[in-house]
Amino acid sequence: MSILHNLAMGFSVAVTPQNFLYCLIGAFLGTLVGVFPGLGPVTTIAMLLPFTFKLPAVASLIMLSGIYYGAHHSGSTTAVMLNMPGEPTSVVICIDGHPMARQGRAGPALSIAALSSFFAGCVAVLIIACFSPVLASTGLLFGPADYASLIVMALVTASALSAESLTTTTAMAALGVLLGTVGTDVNSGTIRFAFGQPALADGVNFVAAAVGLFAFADVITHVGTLHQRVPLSAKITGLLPTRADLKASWKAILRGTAIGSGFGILPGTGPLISSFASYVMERQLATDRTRFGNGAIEGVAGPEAANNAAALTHFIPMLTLGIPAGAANALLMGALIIQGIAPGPLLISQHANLFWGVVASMWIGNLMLLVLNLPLVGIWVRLLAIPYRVLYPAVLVFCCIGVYSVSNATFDVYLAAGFALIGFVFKQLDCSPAPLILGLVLGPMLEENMRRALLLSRGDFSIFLTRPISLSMLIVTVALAVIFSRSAFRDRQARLANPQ
Amino acid sequence: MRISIGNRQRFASGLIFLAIGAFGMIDGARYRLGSATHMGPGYFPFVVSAVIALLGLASAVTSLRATPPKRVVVWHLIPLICVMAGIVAFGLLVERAGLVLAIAAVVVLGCYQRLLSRPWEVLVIGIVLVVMSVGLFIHGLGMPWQAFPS
Repeated sequence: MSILHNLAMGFSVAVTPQNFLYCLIGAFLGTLVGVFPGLGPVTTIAMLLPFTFKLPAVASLIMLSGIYYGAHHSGSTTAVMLNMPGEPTSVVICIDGHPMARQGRAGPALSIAALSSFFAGCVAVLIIACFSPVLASTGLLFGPADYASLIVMALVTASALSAESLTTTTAMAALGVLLGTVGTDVNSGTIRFAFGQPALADGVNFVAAAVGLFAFADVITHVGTLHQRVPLSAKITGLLPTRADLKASWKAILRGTAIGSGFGILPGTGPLISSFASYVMERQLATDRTRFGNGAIEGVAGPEAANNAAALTHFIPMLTLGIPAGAANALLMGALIIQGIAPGPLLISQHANLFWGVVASMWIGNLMLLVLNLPLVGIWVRLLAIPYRVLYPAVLVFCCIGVYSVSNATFDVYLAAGFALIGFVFKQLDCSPAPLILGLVLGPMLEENMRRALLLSRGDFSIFLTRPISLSMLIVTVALAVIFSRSAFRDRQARLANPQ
Repeated sequence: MRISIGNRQRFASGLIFLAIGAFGMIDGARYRLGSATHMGPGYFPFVVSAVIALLGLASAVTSLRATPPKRVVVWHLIPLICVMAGIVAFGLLVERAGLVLAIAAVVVLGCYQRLLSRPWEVLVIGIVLVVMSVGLFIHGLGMPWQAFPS
């Protein structure tokens, strides 16, 4: 089977000393970041992005993706131990994980969480390996109209699958697209929206925008509000789960993996939704629902598996079609573009080393995370004693240096400060910056494809509706927008996100 | 007649989007619009700005009768001003006065809360970051930056 052959090649790429090391660094940083509630994987990726340009693309992608899925693994650690989710996706784990810890069963909770994450990771890697080539070859059938509709679908879906109002998030995505038009128009040579600044003639510096919107805005929001008084409550005695635990959880793990793999592929907050959906499903299917909220192990196993499966399948759209499914993937895609690699359906064939190397390293990373999360759990929890006020100056300094280092331009630093302001204002107004960065990355592609589509159809807009692929994309867009914007869904999600 | 606004945040953001969209439409029209077959440089920005303006309007209108959010939003402006000042200071200083002073500015301004209560902590953080950065970037990676003012 050619998939086995490709995976073998991928493993040979992934186990080179450099790539192995960067996988370890990524997994380590991801675990670290996942444990601290003030730092998130997107902030960390934005912060490290400028420094990865000196590395070969494979190594940087391996490391940065390790940070992403590593954080999803370890967010449950603090959720179980301290009733404090390290990542938003781990909120659901608090509900049944922390009661388990209070009953003295923190060890089994953590190990079931780690095992279900590992299992989900293995399955997700297999799915990526089998599904991606098929999806990529489908992508090659896309014409410009289909691609334009696909991008619109991605942007609207990403907005629909988030917790805020649909109009607001779609407007943010559109704003990102508009920001993407700043700079020199490729077709006419006209410089758009540069306001006399020569630095803007090349467009808005993607790194400055990413760092400003995510890292800086994040720090500004947290400096004002984060109070760290973290008591170390639960002690971990026995790590191993009992046979009863395993018997109770294995079905939840399977179901969670299925849910996560499915939701992760959709653009938007796949991991967040899948852990929530898995919890709801486990509770509905349980014979004794009163156990939930009081330490039901299925409430830990299912959502953990869903969360981790979604984190990995989240990469599929970016790697196969060049459509990032979330902010983190948008940053990774921006990094690839700057490194000279054009993401799209041809990535798998033209950069086979890169693709299969990353896929193989995802599995290796999952294995490393199993080791990092379980035996070292005590260390991570103790590290939480480091107050945020010591960490954030380091984040600020590294981000400033990083942004400056991209082209030794102080303008980029000012631009990042400007984006920090924009990010802060919009966060205060409940507008998430993730759709904006998606729009910024996808905007130029959208314009180019629209232009080509209209050229081919001689100005006839109905081409977007007559081509079958394009039509189905648009139908899915409308359907998802309608389904997910119904207030009942949002209320439930909001209620689960705020258990207090 | 008092108009009660249900969801203030959404109303405000809706207005902002409306304004941005309007600006984009006006400014975008400065560039040649062209036709659908041959899109000029202004075509796409104009269309996207129109979309933003419409969404902003829809957002503002629906927010009037929306339920107010549970979360109380406090505008902490001092962290915003101080951190931004630190970042801008970095940009101003890094080429004129060297990396060390630029980092010092970021740390001092970023840790504005503790300058009087825990100055030694700020000092230690600053020294550690300066040493790490100079060591890593100038000596380790060989970036062509000055550490000190020339």
